[in-house]
Amino acid sequence: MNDARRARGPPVASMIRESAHRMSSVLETQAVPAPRLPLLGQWQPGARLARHCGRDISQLEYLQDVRALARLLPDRHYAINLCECSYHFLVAFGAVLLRGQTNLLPASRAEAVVAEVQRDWESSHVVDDARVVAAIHQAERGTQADIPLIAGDHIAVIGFTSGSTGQPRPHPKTWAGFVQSTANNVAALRPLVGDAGFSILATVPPQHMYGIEMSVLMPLLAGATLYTRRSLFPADIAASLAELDEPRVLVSTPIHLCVLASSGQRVPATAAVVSATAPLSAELALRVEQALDTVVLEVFGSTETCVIGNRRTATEDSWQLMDQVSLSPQPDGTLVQAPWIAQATLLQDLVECLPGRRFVVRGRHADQIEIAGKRASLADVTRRLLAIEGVRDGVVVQDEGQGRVRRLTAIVVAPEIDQAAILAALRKSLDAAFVPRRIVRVAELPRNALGKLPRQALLECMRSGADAPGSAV
Amino acid sequence: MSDMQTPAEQELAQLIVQALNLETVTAEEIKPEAALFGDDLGLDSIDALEMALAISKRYGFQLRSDNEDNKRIFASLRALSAHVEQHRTL
Repeated sequence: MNDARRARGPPVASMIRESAHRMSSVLETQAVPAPRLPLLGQWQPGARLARHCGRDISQLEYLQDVRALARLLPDRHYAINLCECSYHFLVAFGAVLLRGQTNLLPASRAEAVVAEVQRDWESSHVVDDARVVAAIHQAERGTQADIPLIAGDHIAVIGFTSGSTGQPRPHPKTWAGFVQSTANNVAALRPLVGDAGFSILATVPPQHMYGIEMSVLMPLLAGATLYTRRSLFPADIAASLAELDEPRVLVSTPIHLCVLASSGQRVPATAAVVSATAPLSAELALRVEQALDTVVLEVFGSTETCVIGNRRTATEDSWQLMDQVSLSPQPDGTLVQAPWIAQATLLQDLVECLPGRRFVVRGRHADQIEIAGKRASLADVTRRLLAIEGVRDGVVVQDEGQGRVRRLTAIVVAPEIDQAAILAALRKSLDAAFVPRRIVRVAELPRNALGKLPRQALLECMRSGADAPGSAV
Repeated sequence: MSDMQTPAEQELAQLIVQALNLETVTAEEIKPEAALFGDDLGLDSIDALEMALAISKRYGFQLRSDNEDNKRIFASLRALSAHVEQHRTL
C-alpha cells in the first residue's frame, strides 16, 4: 500500500493524498499492479556512479551505502532530505525509496520553511549529511548484491512551491513518472554525448526538481557518473571538469554560465551544457558556446511538470516539446499534460504552439518570479512582509533589471521599526534570494480607489521614496 | 582588532558595493569584521559569484569555492581582503 494514501494529516497533506489516489485509480482501472522498476536503470555493479572526495564510487558501493542508511531510518512515511552534499543526497534519496518512504523537498532550506513542512507532514523525519555519513561508516562491503525494485506508483518525491496564499503547494512524483521523464531527458542529450556513459557536473543543488532530474536521476537511471564536489566559481568548474572522463555535461544556470563565460577561465572539453532555472538569452548562450566550444541546451520545465521541452538557445527561439507532453494554451497560462503528471497542470507561462511539436513563450503571469533558479510568488513574499509586527502596510515588487539579476524591493509603511528589523524578520522566513535588497519607506502606499496598487504608481514611489536605513517618514 | 578599514579593505569594499549594486549599505559602512553572508550584509551565493567575477577582473586571480578554507575566506571583509592581498597578480 502506498504510504501517501495511508498517512493522516492536515488539509495540505490531503491534497497530495487525493492526487496519489487519482494516480493509483488510473493504474487500477488497467487491472494490473503497477510494475516494479529498478532503483538503478543500468545495473552494472562495477560501473562508476559518482566521483566523490577524490575517488570513484561504484553502483555496488552506492547500494551498500543505501542499504546501510535504510536500516537506520525511523519508521515514518516521509523523509525531509536536506543533504547538502550531492552524494549524500543520492544515498538518502535511495534509502528513503528502499524503505517505501517519500523524499520531501522544501522550497528552501530556510528554517521557517522547513518547519512549515514538518508541521504539515506529521509522519516525517529529517535526513541530513551527518546521518548519511554515520550510516556509510556502518555499511557492509561484499560482492553480492541484488538490485532493489521500487513500485512504479510509489511517490518518490514531493517537491514544494510557494503558492500565492503562502501555503507550500505539494507536487508528487512517482517513480514510474521519473523513469519516463528521465528517458526523455537522456534522449535529448544523446545526440551530444553519444550512446555510452557520460559524466555530470552540476552547479545547482539537488534539492529542486531541475537538480533532481539532471544530477540525481541521471546517475541512477541513465548510468551517468556524478561529480559531487561543490563547484560554483569558474576555477572550480574547470578543475572539477578536468577530473571527469569525457563526454562531460555541465548542468548549470544562466548566472553561473554568465560568470564562467566572462571570466576567461579555460575549461576542459565539454560535450553539452544544460541550462535552466532562469531565462537564458540567445546572446549569452552563444557566448558560452564559443567560450567553451560546446552546445548549450536550455531546458523548459517546472517543479509541477518536470522538464517538458528544450532548445538550442544560441540558434533557436522556439522550444521542442518532449514526447508524450501536450500543451493547451489558456487565457491565464498553459495547461500541461504528460503521463508523469497526476493531473493537467496550469503553468503561468503563456505559450503559442507551432507546427512540428514546437512552441514559443509569449510571457508570464506577473505574480510568479524566478531568481537564481528559485521560484516564488510575489504575493507570498508580500504576505510575509505584512506579517512582521510594526509593518502597517507594504508590498514587494521586482526591479526592472536589464541583464542583471532582478532583485526585489519592498515598499513599506512602518514608522516604528527600522530597516534592520524588517530585514532580520524576512531572513527568518525567506530564502536569501528573495529577501528584498532595497527597502523604500513611505507614509502610505499609492493605493487606488479599489485598493489596488498600479505598477506605475509603485515605480514612482520607488523613485521618490526615502530608502536610507532607518529613516523615518 | 580595529573597526577601521585598511586602504586595501576600503578598495575591496568599494568593489563589492559596486559589483553587487548594494543599495542598503555604502562601502564605508561595511564593518571589517562583520559577516558578509548571513545576518549582517545578507549576501547569498549569487552575490558570491558576482564578487568572484569582479575580484578576478580587478585582482587577476580566480577564487575557488571548493577550498576547505572557503568559509574562513568569505567570513568577513577583513578575511577576504587578506586572501585577495595574498593571491593578487594585478
